[in-house]
Amino acid sequence: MKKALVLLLSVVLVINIFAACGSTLNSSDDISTSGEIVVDNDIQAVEDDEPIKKEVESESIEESLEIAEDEEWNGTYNVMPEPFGNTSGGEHYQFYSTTNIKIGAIDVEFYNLEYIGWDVFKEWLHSHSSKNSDYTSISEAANLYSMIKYFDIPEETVREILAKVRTGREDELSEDEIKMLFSDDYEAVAECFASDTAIRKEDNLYSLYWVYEHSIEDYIEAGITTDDISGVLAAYDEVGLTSAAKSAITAKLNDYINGNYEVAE
Amino acid sequence: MNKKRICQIFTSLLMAISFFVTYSTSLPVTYATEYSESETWSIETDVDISEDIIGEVVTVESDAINAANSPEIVWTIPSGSAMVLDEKYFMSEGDTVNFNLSYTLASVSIRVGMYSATSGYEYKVASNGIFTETLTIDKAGVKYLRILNTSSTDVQVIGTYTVNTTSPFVYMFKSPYYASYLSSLYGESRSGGNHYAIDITTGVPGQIKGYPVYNTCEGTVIFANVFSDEETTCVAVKHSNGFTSRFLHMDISSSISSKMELDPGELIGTVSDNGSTNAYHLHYDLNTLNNYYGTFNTSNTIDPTYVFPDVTFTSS
Repeated sequence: MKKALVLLLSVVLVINIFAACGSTLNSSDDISTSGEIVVDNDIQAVEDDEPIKKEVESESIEESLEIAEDEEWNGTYNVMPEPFGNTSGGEHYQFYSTTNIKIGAIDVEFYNLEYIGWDVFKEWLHSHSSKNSDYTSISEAANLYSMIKYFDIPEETVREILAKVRTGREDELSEDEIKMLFSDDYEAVAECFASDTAIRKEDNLYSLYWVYEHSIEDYIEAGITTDDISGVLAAYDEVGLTSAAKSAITAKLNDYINGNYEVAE
Repeated sequence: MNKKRICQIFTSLLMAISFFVTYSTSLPVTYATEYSESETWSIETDVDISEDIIGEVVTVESDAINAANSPEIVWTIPSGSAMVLDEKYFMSEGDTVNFNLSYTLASVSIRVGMYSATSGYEYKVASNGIFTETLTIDKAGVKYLRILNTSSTDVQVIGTYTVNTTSPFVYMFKSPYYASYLSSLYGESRSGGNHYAIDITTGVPGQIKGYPVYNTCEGTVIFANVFSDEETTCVAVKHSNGFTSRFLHMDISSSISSKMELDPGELIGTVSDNGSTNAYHLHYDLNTLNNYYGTFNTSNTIDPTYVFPDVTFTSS
């Protein structure tokens, strides 16, 4: 009987010690979490914030991996570094622009036309944009002019939309420019709407990004001269490249300008 | 007392002790985080005693602040200097600040008011040692207290002020599709310059895809376009308070068009990754250029987190 009593006592003690330890550990976790996140002693807020804390940790791990993958320029430009690193967003209009804002910005009214729609437009945009395609002709690379041609939007509809969205901004199309939207003289259209930073060769417009990504052989094939390159060299200082990207493009362009390259036969 | 009785008492005692240990440690946690009451104050040592004073900024510590919206100040302001408080509030036209201050040397004048980088200094002159005035804000902005001692002697200012403001902005995400994790902060340094916007996600990569985005403040759509070269979508809404909201990278709602009037809470799109980005997020900024594009900096943008005082933002 005595033995049974001692055994029972031991079991009760062990169970309670474990229970005590377990609840102490949980309490510690709560205190730690509340100390890091809560700023107003609001207990409800602690409960709401706990999932966020986990999400933060998840993203942090991913970000640290991305940072570890950031490229350092290795001294050759055969494979160019990521131009803007691994930042989560940003605007790099100037870097990718082939045309100016007058036809480079496409109002939602155009793709909301009944026979187009966002999904169809988005697919066309993604397969024709300066950023994601090799199209360089103003009649094919994504812009308002090529969109009108591709989707065969009637002049009357274009004029209706332009009148509807007109707010008096400086960058809106003039009457002469609207007429150019229906011209088949691609070279004249390219001259009219080329971006300040794009290199124009007939109806082809080469963005800073295109020059960044392509090789000296490609420049020669496209007819881009050293004078053309000299004309855009300074623009790379304005577009927010990482230091590795800036070093790589500067070296490549200077090699072209100075003739320090060999073209494969 | 027999042995059996002693054993029963001993067992009960042990059980009582162990239960006490168990439950005392699992009681609701009392949040005992100690908050430092000290806040950061700045002294601007002025070279020129004029309205646009630029001088060396010296940061000093003080423990004189009680509450966020009615801080008590005890400042000794050197001659020809301005002191500013780091506590900031988004204030709209017509909002008020009640001052209840006194200062040494009643024979001198000091200027008391609110300052913002986008709208400058709005102030009143205190001239008899007591300043119990109400300042009404003329121009919206992210404001903070600024007291300028234009006299030739040091002045000690003591008292409180209360900011009376209600933000006209409503948050762009609603439960259950709610997100408040900032993957990029306002003013964050980037290779191409600082980021004068906030990038909002849930903190879980990709999770925010498709979350509905609602307009934040009444206004007119001045731009609803796609930048075709980089595929970035942009909706810009011009508000009557002098700011323009820009929402980037969304799939824009088909109901949105240029020149349309929007109320806060109206759907404008869903979160996507259109454009210059390698992650699903909403880019949101507030600028005073009233434009969809421009060179943004601290004098023509504000930190959007200040217009959503009820939102608890997190970041890494």
